Amino acid sequence: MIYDVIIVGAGSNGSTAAYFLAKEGFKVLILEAGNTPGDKCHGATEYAPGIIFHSRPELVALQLKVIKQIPHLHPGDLGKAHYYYYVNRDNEVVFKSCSVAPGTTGAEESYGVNNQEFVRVLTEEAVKAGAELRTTTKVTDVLREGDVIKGVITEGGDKIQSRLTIGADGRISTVAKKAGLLKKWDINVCCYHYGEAWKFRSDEEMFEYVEHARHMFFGPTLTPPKPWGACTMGLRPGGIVTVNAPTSWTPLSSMIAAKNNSRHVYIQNLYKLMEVKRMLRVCEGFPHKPYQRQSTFLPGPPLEKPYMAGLIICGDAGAVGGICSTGEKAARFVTPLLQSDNLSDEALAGYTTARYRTDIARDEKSKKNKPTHELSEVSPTRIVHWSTGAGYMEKYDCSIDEMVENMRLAAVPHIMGAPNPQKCGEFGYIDMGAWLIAVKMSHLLKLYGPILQDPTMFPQIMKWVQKNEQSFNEKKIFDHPF
Amino acid sequence: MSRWNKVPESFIILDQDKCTGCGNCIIICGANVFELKDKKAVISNLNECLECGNCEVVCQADAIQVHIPKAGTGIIYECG
Ligand SMILES: Cc1cc2nc3c(=O)[nH]c(=O)nc-3n(C[C@H](O)[C@H](O)[C@H](O)COP(=O)(O)OP(=O)(O)OC[C@H]3O[C@@H](n4cnc5c(N)ncnc54)[C@H](O)[C@@H]3O)c2cc1C
Ligand code: SF4
Ligand code: SF4
Repeated sequence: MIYDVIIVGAGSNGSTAAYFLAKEGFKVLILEAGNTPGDKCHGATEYAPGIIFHSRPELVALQLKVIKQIPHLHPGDLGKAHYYYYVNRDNEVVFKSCSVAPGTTGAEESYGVNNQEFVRVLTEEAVKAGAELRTTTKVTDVLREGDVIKGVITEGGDKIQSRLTIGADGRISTVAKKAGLLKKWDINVCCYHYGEAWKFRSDEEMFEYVEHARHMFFGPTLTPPKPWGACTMGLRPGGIVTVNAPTSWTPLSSMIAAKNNSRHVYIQNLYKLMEVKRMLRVCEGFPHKPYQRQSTFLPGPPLEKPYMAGLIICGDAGAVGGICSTGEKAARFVTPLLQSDNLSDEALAGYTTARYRTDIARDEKSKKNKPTHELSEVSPTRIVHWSTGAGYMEKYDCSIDEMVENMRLAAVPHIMGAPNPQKCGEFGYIDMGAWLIAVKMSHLLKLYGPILQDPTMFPQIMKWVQKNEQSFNEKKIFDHPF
Repeated sequence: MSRWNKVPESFIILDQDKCTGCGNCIIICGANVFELKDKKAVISNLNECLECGNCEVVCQADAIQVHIPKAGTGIIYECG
């Protein structure tokens, strides 16, 4: 038998692709190496479907359907949704602000969930939609005829054929590797994401130690030697607090200079903060033995290209990380191609430039302007993942200003309020914290221009921030500078 | 807790002859799996591996190969 689509990996991206393709009526087989979907899935701090995926209503509906079935924390569970801690060069918190309070923006639609539980239920939804699932089945190779991928080979030696293979097998992508698409990455410009989780004895105990915020951002000056760093801490059901340190703002070369890895350069500094110590000291094993560690590359392992005839790579495997995002995009993109049976290299190439595009159309009935969202071909813009910002700055010798602009272009146009959303790519992965810090910093940049880049001016900037504290607190929302 | 189901095979292969001792793998590995001994990387902590594949993509000497462990073995995440 020949399947329409084989999906390797029941992570959030693979299962999302499976769900949408099965719903279209295609014969879909998911192959998962773990005993249970979710076993191998790390990451994800916050789910804010309606904000991040505002241009994909069906994906939002699917994510919410899943979230409602699993344990989750809602901003309403604590007083404020987010807190920002500004950390100075002496590693002290000099200012705390809250940018969003529940009920004032779309942020009340954000949820703290464990990715494992999310993926388990998501995969069940894919199966309900008609996909076939085989767990404890590791794919070891692709079936290849010349330059066309025709299916996969499993550890047990089974050869399974399909019209299209989707490699959604995460950061060690056997599919990408065997297809010959994996490349090396220059350590000086790459970034990665390392995180630890700590466990309180219960949700209640956790809330006791956290002051009215479910999501906390520490930055931007945490990380020596460059004054950029954004560590985040998020609460999860089950008395879990996750601590994430993207190396986003500091190129790895500075870690090389410090002769240390991110655990030491970022996380250890975070644990020295009095505010963090107070919170975490009651966790088991703190500060030496975390409950769990996780790590991934950003924005995913470098690929030659994320497609070839008969094959699409998505998710962490496909060089763009983030929950569900590229899985959904891949499914949407290949649906017409599967229907017309054109899965050539040229046809699939559009996958890399296709973006969700928002247009405003006049609805004649209601006489109102309504946004329409579609996946369409746009001229490839300079899409730069925010997390690569620092490496980018170093490599291309660009200013902080340019970096912020690049991040803004890379992010979801709606949130960033980019002046010309059509020109912007759409990026599924956005860390709200880093984004907001960037927004705030760019606000400061506008006011203070070059002095922000002069470290001796830092105290003055802090003074400005403190002066504005009152208005931050009164308004409870941050004025959008763009 | 992230648990670990014992992996029957050695799923990270490090070719000492190719290793130039550059230290990239040590910097990028959040789990301290590698150590530098006599100017060569050695695997000293395989059971801590987070299966992120970072070490392979930054090893310019092609000395590291990370395979996903046998079906049903290796790391099991519990909270994300
Ligand atoms: C610390 C940290 C924080 C993060 N925070 C966020 C965040 O806030 N927001 C966000 O959107 N993203 C975040 N991410 C990134 C996000 O978690 C990942 O990008 C996302 O989970 C990737 O999903 P995936 O489906 O592509 O891959 P995975 O979830 O890795 O799934 C891959 C699946 O493929 C299976 N598999 C692998 N190889 C094979 C094989 N050979 N045969 C069969 N099956 C195989 C695996 O068992 C696994 O189930 C974070 C990551 C980290 C590490
Ligand atoms: S990255 Fe490769 S060459 Fe460099 S020390 Fe590690 S194994 Fe050796
Ligand atoms: S795969 Fe990741 S955690 Fe495992 S040894 Fe390599 S870098 Fe370290």
